[in-house]
Amino acid sequence: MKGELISGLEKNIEEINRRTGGSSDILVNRFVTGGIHCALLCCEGMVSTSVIAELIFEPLTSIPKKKDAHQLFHYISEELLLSTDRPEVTDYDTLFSLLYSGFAVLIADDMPLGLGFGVQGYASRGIQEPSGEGNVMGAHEGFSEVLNTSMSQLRRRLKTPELVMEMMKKGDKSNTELCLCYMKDRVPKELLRRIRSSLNSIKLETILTTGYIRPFVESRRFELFSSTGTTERPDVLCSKLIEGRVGILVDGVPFAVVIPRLFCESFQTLDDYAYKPYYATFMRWIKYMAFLTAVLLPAVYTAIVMHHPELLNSTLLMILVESEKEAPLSILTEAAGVLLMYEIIREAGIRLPKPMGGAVSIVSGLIIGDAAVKSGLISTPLLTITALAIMSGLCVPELNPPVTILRFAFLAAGGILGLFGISLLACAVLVNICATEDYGFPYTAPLSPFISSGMSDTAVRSSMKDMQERGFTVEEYHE
Amino acid sequence: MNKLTGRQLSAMLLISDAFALFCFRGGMSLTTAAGLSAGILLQFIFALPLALRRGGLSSGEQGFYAIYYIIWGGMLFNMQWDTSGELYIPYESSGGMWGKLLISGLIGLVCIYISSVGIKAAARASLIAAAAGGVCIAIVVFSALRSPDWGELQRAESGRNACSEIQRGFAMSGGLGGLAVLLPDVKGKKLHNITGYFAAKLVLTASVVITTVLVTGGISDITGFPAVRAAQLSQPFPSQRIDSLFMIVFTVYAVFSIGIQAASAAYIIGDVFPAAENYAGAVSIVLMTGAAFMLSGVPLYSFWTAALVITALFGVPVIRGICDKIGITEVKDC
Repeated sequence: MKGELISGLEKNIEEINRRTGGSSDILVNRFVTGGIHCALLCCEGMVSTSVIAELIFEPLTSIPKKKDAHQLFHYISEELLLSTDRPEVTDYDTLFSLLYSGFAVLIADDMPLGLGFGVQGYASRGIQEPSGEGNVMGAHEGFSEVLNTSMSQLRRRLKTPELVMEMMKKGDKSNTELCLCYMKDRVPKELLRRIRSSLNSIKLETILTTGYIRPFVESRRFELFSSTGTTERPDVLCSKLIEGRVGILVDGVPFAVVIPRLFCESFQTLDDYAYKPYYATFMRWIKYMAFLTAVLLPAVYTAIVMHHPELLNSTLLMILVESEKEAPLSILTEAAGVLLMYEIIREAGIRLPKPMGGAVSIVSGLIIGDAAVKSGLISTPLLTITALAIMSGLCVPELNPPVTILRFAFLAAGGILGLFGISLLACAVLVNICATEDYGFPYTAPLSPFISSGMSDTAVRSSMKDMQERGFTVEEYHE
Repeated sequence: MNKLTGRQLSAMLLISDAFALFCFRGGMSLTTAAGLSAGILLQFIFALPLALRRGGLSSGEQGFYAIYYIIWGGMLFNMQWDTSGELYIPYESSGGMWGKLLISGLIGLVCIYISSVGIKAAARASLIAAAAGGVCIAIVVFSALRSPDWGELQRAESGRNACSEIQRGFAMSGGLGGLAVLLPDVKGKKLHNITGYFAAKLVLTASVVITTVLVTGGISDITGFPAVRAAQLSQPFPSQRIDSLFMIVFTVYAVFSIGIQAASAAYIIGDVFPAAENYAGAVSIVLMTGAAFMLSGVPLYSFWTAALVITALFGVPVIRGICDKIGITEVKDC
């Protein structure tokens, strides 16, 4: 058997049972209509039973007698118009693909063909506020796990034929639907061609999160920072598409991948464009400083207190000496311990069942924090410094993974080799960031290569009128 | 290779120039400032033929510049080795042999990484490093100039005449070889880029030298490294010192100066021997270390060093131009 449907109804059903191993979620509803023996196949939980009952079964069972199955299918397809999606099924691969996507498929005796009806009705989480990308002035809806819903969220915001959404399936076992989104008048053609080529190289069995496809559209070189971004906000993705970027939506994941991503974009939020430019500029610089504080503050504190006390003025020096002289551990050990403890508590906070959250807060805040300071294990200035660094890191949540690792690396470099070590590591990190590039778009643009026009939305946030005149697309940054 | 920008090339060269200034040995005076400035004007004139050159490097030029980078990289290693004794790093014998080895070894490791990611990434990073370093240098310069003692200008003695200072200026401008190699890969008008770089170099050299003379003045000829000493003596705040700020700039510029030479050498080696492309950076650093051993004790500011720089900047491009005229050049695009 080559995988194509055969004429006999029973043989087809037998083959379907054989292929599925008798899986109990495949429902076979046998009936006779127009004098022909038929079966409507569907996958339990994937279809809307009320829609099937009202819009499929009711019209199907009232069909007048037909000469043969061909005439019956022609009548159903051309005259009944049971659903907007009515694909024809000729082989088992297509049949299973449709069944598992929420279609109902009609097969009949003496007919080597099936008719699909789009009656999807699986349970899913509705549109909710994004949990990781907070916003004050903008829309409060995020992408949903259902791909079609996410696509409609984009379409609602960009009602133009220039917005193209290309569907493709990836994953040998999961057959996950991906949607490549772009503005055909803005996207650089070469970028689109290369992304398609990268996606074609995916030979995975399953795609369960965006993390499965991101390595295929990123450079193979070791990069600390990711040159592709993700967003869970349709409005943010629309703004990226308008700038000529490409988005990839993955069925079952409420996040979109954005390509290319620039370093400076991690500091931009949609709220920046809702506030006055002076305030948005101020907030942007706060975030730049927060990033540096998150990465460097514990390391610089440790380096200065341990190796370069001449950098402190005498008053500050005395305060630190007074508090550190009681602590039994070295400052480097103390700082590493506090940061490690924070990471453990954070991970526990994410993974543990929600009802236990209060217990973790009590243990971490009161027992560990308060008791450690009171017992003299940790000095108060060090705890303040690490808390400040951690809070600063939360200002730029997207960069949290590299910031966490870099914070430890810089701490070790500063504690062991002082500012010399921090400088050396900073050079290596800077070069790594500058080497990050995908599809010819440098991650550090518009800072290096320096593009002065790009500064209007990087160093400052210029007014909407100015930005309108500029008509920016990401192609400006291509090297 | 995709094109570099004029700013990136200027940043790479200026970092090398600034590092050479930090490692400057011997007395500084107004004659030094005048000599070095005049030297920069001469260098600009010598660099003009580069603006007219078309096409990439020939095989012979590639060989010459690869060796040149190795030699200049070795000299930079020696400068860093000599100067690192003046800087404090938290190591129990940081001023001794092991401390210097530790500093050089760590810098070498970072340089290997820089050379492994390629000249383009190094160029981008140089632009940011040069800008950040420029701010730090400006802080040091302004803190030194808050209450200048203009009398130091008269008291400072370098013990050299203007010609000798011009020679010294050429000898410490080894980074100019990079101008000859990388200029063909720079976007925009070559003359514009060359002019911008030399103008920035003039401002940088003049401000550092005059600040150093104002701060160290009469003792500049007895301090080992007058620029380092000037940074240590000039403090903006009465109750705290910022020597470490200068140390950061020194470290960053040392890493980038040597790293860029290694990346440039690797760029040429990788082009000549594509099979060795992945190891070219590490090979360059090893060769530079070897060159540093061989050149240790060789006077940096000698006539021969100056002649080597002039050959790289002017001699080779002119010979190439003559060969082009005769029609015997075999150009190999990098």
